[in-house]
Amino acid sequence: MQRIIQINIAGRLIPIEEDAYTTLRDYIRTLERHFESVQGKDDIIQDIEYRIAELFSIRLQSGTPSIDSSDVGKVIETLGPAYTLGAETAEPVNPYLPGPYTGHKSTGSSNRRLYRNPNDKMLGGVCSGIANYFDIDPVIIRLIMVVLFLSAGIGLLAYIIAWIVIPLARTPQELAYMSGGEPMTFDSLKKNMGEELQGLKRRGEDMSKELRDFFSKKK
Amino acid sequence: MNIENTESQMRKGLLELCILGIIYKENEAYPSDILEQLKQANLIVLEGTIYPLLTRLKNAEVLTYRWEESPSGPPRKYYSLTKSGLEFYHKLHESWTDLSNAVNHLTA
Repeated sequence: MQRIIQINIAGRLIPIEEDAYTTLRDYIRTLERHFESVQGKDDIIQDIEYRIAELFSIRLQSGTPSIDSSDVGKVIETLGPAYTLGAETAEPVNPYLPGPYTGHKSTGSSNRRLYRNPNDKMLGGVCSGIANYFDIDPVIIRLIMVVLFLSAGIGLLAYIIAWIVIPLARTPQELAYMSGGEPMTFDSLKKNMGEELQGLKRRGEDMSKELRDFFSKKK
Repeated sequence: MNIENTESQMRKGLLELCILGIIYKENEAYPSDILEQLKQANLIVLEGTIYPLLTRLKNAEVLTYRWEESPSGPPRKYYSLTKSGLEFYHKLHESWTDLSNAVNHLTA
């Protein structure tokens, strides 16, 4: 025995068996979870619901009194389980789009990277590199550094570490990255920190590889 | 080597171009129309894959849509190309022609 309930899907009143309804509801919930972080999630779910309503309408017009589990099963089979549908809208907008869409790709701020500045340096260009990164006067950074040098001695150590760790801007592209774009915001800074750490890791790996090569040659 | 997997990757990559092509030819099309044609051409297996694509193209302002009442089912979303969408489609189609020529040449 099955209870038949009425559901409203895409504005259509559909008579459906209770079991079938539960299956359908679970399917739509899985879809909602699947597209959770996708821009336009509501549109996608809406489109799919309209398609489901359409397929049900066709089925009902063929003379069946209500939708049952096998009908729902067929619909899900036709549309495909959530995991096969690929959250494609999460991808960035196509870069070769003409007109206004290309603009949103590079606004500079996220492109800025921390380099030592070879064109304006007292010692290693650390201070002016940092100043470039935050878009402030290098003199201010130098003053802070001097205060740190004198007060605790940490400044000197920090400076030397920074000298080693921060790469020198060599190519014109690196120079552009160093000063290009807009001043850093806290968010983009956080994002860049991740990238810097990646780069640092790579440099560490390169260095240890060189050392290994060096020692293995000696043997 | 799984041939079906490779085939499905190929089809997937071309789906966007084909959807735009159908809409271009029909001037206006609603998803079930598009699905019908894609299925006949063996380009799509699971219907659900088309909806995220349509939404993405709509969000990128390649496509736009209008609602129309249907005599039998729920209202339908009729998709059409925007002005820049048209340009996008022509460029994409051109790339495809070049690509398919190149591939045919290489694999002939």
